[in-house]
Amino acid sequence: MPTLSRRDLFRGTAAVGASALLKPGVARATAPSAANLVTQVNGERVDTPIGDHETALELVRERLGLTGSKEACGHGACGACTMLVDGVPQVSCIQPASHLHGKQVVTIEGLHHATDPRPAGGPGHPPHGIAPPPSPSLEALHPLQRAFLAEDALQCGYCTPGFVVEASAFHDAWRGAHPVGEGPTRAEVAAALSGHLCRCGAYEGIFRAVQGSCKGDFDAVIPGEPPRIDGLEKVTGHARYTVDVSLPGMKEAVFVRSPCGGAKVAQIDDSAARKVPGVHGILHLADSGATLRHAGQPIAIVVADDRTTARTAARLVRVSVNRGPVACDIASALAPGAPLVYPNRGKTEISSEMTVIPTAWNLNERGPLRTDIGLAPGRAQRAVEAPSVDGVWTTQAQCHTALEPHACVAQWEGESVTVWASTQMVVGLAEELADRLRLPASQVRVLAPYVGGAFGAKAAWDAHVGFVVDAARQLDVPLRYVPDRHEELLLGGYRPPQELKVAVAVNAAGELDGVRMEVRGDSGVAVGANVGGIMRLRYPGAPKFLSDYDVLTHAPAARPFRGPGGPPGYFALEGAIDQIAADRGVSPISIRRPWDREPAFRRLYDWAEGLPEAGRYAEVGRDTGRFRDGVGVATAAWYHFVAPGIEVLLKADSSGFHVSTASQDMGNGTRTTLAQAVEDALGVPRARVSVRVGDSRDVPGPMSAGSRTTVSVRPAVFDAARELTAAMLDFAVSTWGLTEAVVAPGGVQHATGFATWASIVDAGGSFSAVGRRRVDPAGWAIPLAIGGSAIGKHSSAALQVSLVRVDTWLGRVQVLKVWAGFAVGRVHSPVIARSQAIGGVIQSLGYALHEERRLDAKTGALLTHTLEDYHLPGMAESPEIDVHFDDVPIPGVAAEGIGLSEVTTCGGGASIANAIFRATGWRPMALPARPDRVLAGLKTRVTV
Amino acid sequence: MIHFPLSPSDAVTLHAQGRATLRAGGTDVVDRARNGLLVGDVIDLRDVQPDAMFGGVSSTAGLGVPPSLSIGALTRIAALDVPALDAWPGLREAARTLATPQVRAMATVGGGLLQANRCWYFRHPDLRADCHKAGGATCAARSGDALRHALFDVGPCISVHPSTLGCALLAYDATFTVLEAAGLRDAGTVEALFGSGADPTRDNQLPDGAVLYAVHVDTGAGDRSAYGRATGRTWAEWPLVEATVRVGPAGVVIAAGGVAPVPVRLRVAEQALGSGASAGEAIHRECASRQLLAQSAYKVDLLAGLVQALLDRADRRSL
Repeated sequence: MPTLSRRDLFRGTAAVGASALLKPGVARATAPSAANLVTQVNGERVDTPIGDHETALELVRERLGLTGSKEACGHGACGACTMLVDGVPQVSCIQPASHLHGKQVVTIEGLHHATDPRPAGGPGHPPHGIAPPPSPSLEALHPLQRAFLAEDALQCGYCTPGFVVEASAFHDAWRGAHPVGEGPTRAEVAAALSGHLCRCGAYEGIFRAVQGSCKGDFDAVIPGEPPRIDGLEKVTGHARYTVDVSLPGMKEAVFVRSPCGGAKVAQIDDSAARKVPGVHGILHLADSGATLRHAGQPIAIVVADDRTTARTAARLVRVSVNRGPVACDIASALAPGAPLVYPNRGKTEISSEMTVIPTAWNLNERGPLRTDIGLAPGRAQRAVEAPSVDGVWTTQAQCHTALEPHACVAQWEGESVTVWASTQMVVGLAEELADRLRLPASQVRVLAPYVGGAFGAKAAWDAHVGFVVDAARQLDVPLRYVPDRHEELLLGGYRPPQELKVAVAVNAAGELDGVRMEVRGDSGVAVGANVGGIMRLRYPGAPKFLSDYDVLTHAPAARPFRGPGGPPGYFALEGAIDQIAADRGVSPISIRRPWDREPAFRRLYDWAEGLPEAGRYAEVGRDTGRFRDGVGVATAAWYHFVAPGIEVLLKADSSGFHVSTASQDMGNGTRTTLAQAVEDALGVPRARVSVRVGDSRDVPGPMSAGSRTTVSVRPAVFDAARELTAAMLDFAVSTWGLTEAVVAPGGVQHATGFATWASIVDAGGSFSAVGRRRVDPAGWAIPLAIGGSAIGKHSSAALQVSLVRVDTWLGRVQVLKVWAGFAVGRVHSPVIARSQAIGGVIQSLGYALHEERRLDAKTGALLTHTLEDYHLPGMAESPEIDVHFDDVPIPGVAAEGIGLSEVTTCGGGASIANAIFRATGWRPMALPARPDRVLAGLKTRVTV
Repeated sequence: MIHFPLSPSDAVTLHAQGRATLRAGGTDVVDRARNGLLVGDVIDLRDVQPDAMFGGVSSTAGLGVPPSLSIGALTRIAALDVPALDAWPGLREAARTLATPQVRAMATVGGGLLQANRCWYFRHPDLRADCHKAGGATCAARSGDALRHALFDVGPCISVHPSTLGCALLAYDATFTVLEAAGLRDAGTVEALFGSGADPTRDNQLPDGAVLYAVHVDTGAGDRSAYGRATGRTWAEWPLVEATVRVGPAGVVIAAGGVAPVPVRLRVAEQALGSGASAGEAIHRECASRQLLAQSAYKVDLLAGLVQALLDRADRRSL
């Protein structure tokens, strides 16, 4: 087997000999144990040898090709792999396959009605790459599945099969014991589904779906289209994600990774690993002497028949390293004598969506980066010499940890490669790959069929994709790599920890005289943490001094996380303002009102003052006793980002209407947005529109990041529709000799009647048009696009009111209710927009209260390496969330609206922290507000 | 290699032969196998036909004799959430609270008591090389990040024991039976099964070669009791601290988890409560009598709050 160094990668110089070692025909299963497993899966008999440590999940996914059950955590903590065993929901990732012996197993594929004429995807359907089995009809679905569809109880859909399987059993048991019309409480549903996690935060819809179906509301098919056009594939387990791609002869990759940071490779000995049967190759990715800045850096890639074998072999690769000291947080990295992350400066990784501007670099600190040009920073500095409030806020690393990891599959055919990847940027990834491989663009194709969540973590180049693509070529095999949860939590991206020194001055007249924010961000080995660039948006007109520093540490690179810079920045800024309002005894709404001249914020303030808890906004510490309630208010603003020039292809022929673009749907609803846009532009029902995304070969679409997908593709669809309808009009006129013919909604109005688009395509016409996202009528705020992103005029606005209950004995904070108002102009798909908004609110709740990555300070290794240690909000953490859209068109902006995703998560942490202060009189200055911090805080009651 | 013995005696014969791990529900053993923590063979109890003692729950409550409870080690946790346990509400509550519904449907009582700890150093492939419980000689958590670790410094290892059932059984003075090559034997109290926590190499003190067969609760039926835990989230989280309190004719019993490498009885606090101290005072006296670890000192207040809350809840309970 060849031993390759990193230098050889992408050069193709060391591939000789690899293919000779392949063993064609070797089964992908592990060695059989003495006795075969005999079981029933979805009603069909299975009789198969199984491996010693094979899990029930591996059995159904890899042997039976039933890929609806998902692995997400691998520890039984998230429930994505739940299946029914003798009717009882059980997690399958920690269930020995042998325990299914003699049992009746039902997976998501077998849940719908057995009489459905179409195949249930039972055993015998071989694993395959792209084409999913057909989904069952709505009539054949379990009522709970129909409820999930109707209530839009999902986004990316990756956790959905597990939720659906568990909730269907709950539903069936409930129905057996309760009359029609009687449903469970939220608490009962939360307890029943406490073994499930949804990173998108679809919990509100799940509550409605389970409660409604238990009452019998979904026993029959609900008329009308489900709000999300790819929902059916998701609730049936038929949606195929990158992790589900399985190709003939495909091998699995596992990485050998650095155990620590601050080290150098001394020696790599893979001799024992190479002897493991089923290992096809081990490629070295780091040479002796290579620098290992952070834990998890790739050292070697092991390719084997299956993951278990690869993992076993990887464990046998002996890597000795020379360890040095590490600095894994801001304080350690800035301490005198701290080990330097980049002793020779050099090139860092970039964690920002924005272009990183050169600046000073001193030891581990890079900066300042000033983002206050034109904001009178000098005046702000002078004003805060007598601050109304002055404090240091700190935040933690929040991991994106999408439930589908950063998986990829590479398949070479000659000098062309196809890469399936869980990515937010099929186009960007294809371009990057072509560049690195020095191949023409036509020879690189990237597919992202379904994407199981991303949140910003999958919008950048991933080194492992390059290694997998290269290993696939070197070893001449299709190759899949699915990171485990440990790798995902360590390397998959995180919101950088920040230390924010904030001073705010409000004068006696209530005017905002100045804001000073000096912020340090820890993006690990990367740079690009930036809060000031976001903070300059809020309270326009107020003098601001905004200065950011990157602090380099021996941690993996951060990644932009939904609203990068927003959540920490608003936590500090809105906390400071809340404190000033409290100190002055005024409502947090009334103190802000004079600082906002935009009508959108004024309307949000009016809305907030009409809410049920409005009378309590100014209260602090009303309750005594164990449980204390408080209401917190915070606001946020976000940019109007657009991907200018992106294209959408619209076709119409006798088979229907087809829209495609090389974008992707990671749960944000790109497919639905496109179909809705076609419906709105052409006046044809959404059901007649087929949508294709997730293929880099289509016309170039937007990266799904920066809240810009909808605002980019929708105007492009309208642009295409103008050309398409003109052509259809011409065709109709010439075919039928129409007179006085004009384009109208749904077809062509002419002198003697109306010809529908459908009748025109049925007459044999075949049309296509490419539409583009053009500049907004009002133009851009900055006259050029940076990194494929233009900044439009106007910004989005958010206001979140949170009612919390603090348990002063156990230090626990429960969010009871949230009212979240968003002004983003026109909302074109209200149901999925609401789902996305709720997801943003729940992610901010996790940020405020539960989520926290922790690294070992001595080695930089990840301590919170499972979803048992890294705490995502669950069903019971999800409060009732009322979403209010200020649905007022924004003039001068195409589609009359601006992006939604990021602004929904920016102010929530601040709102909850402010509510804790209002409840207790103690202001959380550090996130998350863990029980130990709450208890300590309650003892001090120190406010800033 | 995985063995599938057909009877308890076959299982114990295999087990006595050497270094093998017993597997029942598998929820921890599968995870450890993947993690590289499992050494040697696995003896899987899938095909074992348990007798009523090994595989069942039997209660004499309501039969006119002093109520007692016997729970087989092969009983699934979910099978404890049944009316037969109503005379021991702290135990039933514990069984209803731990882990998740899917895990409770698979995991057994024996596995719950004998599972390995979840210390984030012990479970980390790159951090456990020198860990006491992985064959090493130090505790990385002690000089590292021990935010969620033990409060009481009772031995070289400062992990916390993960068994919620252990915490509950301690509060009921439960005993246990083992099956050994020589046959069944009553092996003492569940408190002794765990030991003091001073031994850093093991999560329990089950005799080598023995199979945990059943646990028995002969006291406390009808006592007011409650189980609870302090966590950041509502469900599905390893507790920062957990406790079971039982208020009986002989006084208050408190067993706590999340504070030591084993579940522990808080006898100083029990005595203090007996002499009229408040929960807060009692816990502070308990803690004053022990050596505490600095990083988790917040658990003192947490434990005080939890015990107060549980006493309140037990008090409201009419039986």
